[in-house]
Amino acid sequence: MSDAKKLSPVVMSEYQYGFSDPEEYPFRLPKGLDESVVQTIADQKSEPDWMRDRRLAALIEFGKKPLPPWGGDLSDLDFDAITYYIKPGDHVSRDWNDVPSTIRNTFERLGIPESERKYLAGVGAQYESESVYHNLKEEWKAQGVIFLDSDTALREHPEIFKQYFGTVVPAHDNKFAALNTAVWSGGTFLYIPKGVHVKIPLQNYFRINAKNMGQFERTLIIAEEDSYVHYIEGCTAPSYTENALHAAVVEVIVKKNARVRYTTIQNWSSNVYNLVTKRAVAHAGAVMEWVDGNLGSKLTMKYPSVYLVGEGAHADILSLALAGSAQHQDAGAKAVHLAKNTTSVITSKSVSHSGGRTSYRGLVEVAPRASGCKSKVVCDALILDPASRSDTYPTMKIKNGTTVIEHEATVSKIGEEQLFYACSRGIAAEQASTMIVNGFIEPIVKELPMEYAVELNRLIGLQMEGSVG
Amino acid sequence: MAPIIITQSGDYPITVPAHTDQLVVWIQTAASPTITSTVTLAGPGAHATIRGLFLLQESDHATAQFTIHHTTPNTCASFLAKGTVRDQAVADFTGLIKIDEVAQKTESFLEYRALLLDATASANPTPSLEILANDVVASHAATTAPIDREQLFYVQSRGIDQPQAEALLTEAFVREVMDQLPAAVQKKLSTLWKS
Repeated sequence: MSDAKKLSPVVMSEYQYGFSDPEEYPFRLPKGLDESVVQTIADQKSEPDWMRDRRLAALIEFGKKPLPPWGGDLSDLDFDAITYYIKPGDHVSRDWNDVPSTIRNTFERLGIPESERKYLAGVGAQYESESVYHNLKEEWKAQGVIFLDSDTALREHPEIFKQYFGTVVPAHDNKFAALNTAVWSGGTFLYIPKGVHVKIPLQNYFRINAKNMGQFERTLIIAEEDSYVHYIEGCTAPSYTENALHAAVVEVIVKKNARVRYTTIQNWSSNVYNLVTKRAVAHAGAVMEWVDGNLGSKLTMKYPSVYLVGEGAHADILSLALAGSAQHQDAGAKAVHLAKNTTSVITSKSVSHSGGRTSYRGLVEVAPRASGCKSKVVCDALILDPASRSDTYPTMKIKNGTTVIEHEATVSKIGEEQLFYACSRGIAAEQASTMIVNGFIEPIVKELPMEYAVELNRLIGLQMEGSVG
Repeated sequence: MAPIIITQSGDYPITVPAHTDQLVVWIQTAASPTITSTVTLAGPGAHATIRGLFLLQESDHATAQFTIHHTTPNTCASFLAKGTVRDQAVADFTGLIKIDEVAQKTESFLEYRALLLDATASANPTPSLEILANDVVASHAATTAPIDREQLFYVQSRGIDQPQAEALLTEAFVREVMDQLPAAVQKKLSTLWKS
């Protein structure tokens, strides 16, 4: 039988990473959010006053902002039923042997082989709200690359942190950005000095482990002129019955002629609200690439965006969404052209099945004085059964007449001719469908690191089981 | 059914019953800045062909909002709109294809193309899809762009000066829609076009 069949018991019965360690935390706050919670977080982290002030100001913004009137259904989201801060370990480990054994077990259960762990040198593994493991390669250190969890970065590099924090996504941007600014904890800080090319992708694993524990990481990436980095984050979460909230903020600054690629594979369990603000600023000649895969969660609302502020900057956004039973993936992309001769390409692929819903929501905006811009948006959706749904809501605001914009979207089921072709060559209908779906998402999967691509193909094989009669 | 021709601002609900072909033509100029229409394909075999033209200039600000709503199985709709935007004119467009859960075996296509003839002209197309059935083919395409430089070069290299070449290419752009219309409508349009 096919590989997908053989692997399926391993890949997923219900949710394959849906196990949980006993909760042993040195410190956790009671549920709910008020000023004392924010004060306690700042106290716990012994943060400088400016950060404490930013948190408190953001808390006020959070109270003032309404929930977004568009997008997915947030009515079940109870902000008072969430724990806003948990401290997992006493210190950030540098050596693998110092990592607490329960946490090492978690990685064991995630199935990362020993050899691969070594291969993945430089992995910053975020367990709960703080990173517990950081092993930065010596050569990068020598080049001046800073790869830390955000809390440590704030302590060790306060000047850089203060200079860039909140400049791309200010607290008043939206309700969830305000929430994140008020209670953020953990996340990744990455600084690439001028001219440095980081050849091996930097990776970060993290997971939500405590019941109803919100994950509010704050990621800040600064790529100086002519530098290059590829950052990968993959998330898996244990499945729980109560609603969990993940409200992260990612800020990326790509300076002149630099290039940053940011790859995310999100596979939250089906009770998680995944409400993330991801935004990059691309200066002259810079290239920003988002590769964004949304496989899990109850509701995802995430629109990676690029503000093209320098002449000749380029944005490339690949978005993949897979929605199954009771899932809504409201994902998309934004490209805002503010400078001359900037270009963007947005490719979105979505698959909905078993009553799932996928929505593409995007924006292409061209400012009045940004002449000679080009943008191309392609959205393709597959609907596998009559109970599922797909939407496309692209918005285009083109205020400059020299702009070339192309947008196209298609929605359909698996082509009967394609299926017939495969079946006539002796392939079973179910297997043929899996093959066609994998082919459909290929343009995005081929941009992923191999281990993610393999996992994704297995996952689709499994989810497709029994979906074709 | 006789073609429905829209040349004035207003809200136009149109229902296409079973086994009926309906042509809808809309023309948007300064005289018809706000056109709203919901075309409902209400019975099996309903077929709607919608063709739009917009000619905007100076400080025109036009809004066209179309919903193509498939409520029964075996329906078909095709939508094509093309037009030019000059000076400081603004063309806003919303085109939603909505396919209900029961409306299987449906085909729907929407295409919107705006030609921007001045750097200050702007267009804001929002084509949307809400698809609740699965055995369907639905797609849309939208473009906004100035005159293609290579096409212009091609025409100019044949000895035609730039203003004339631009006029030629602009006419060819909207002619794709014009040619698909009944002769009476075409006649009306060409007088409009000349003014």
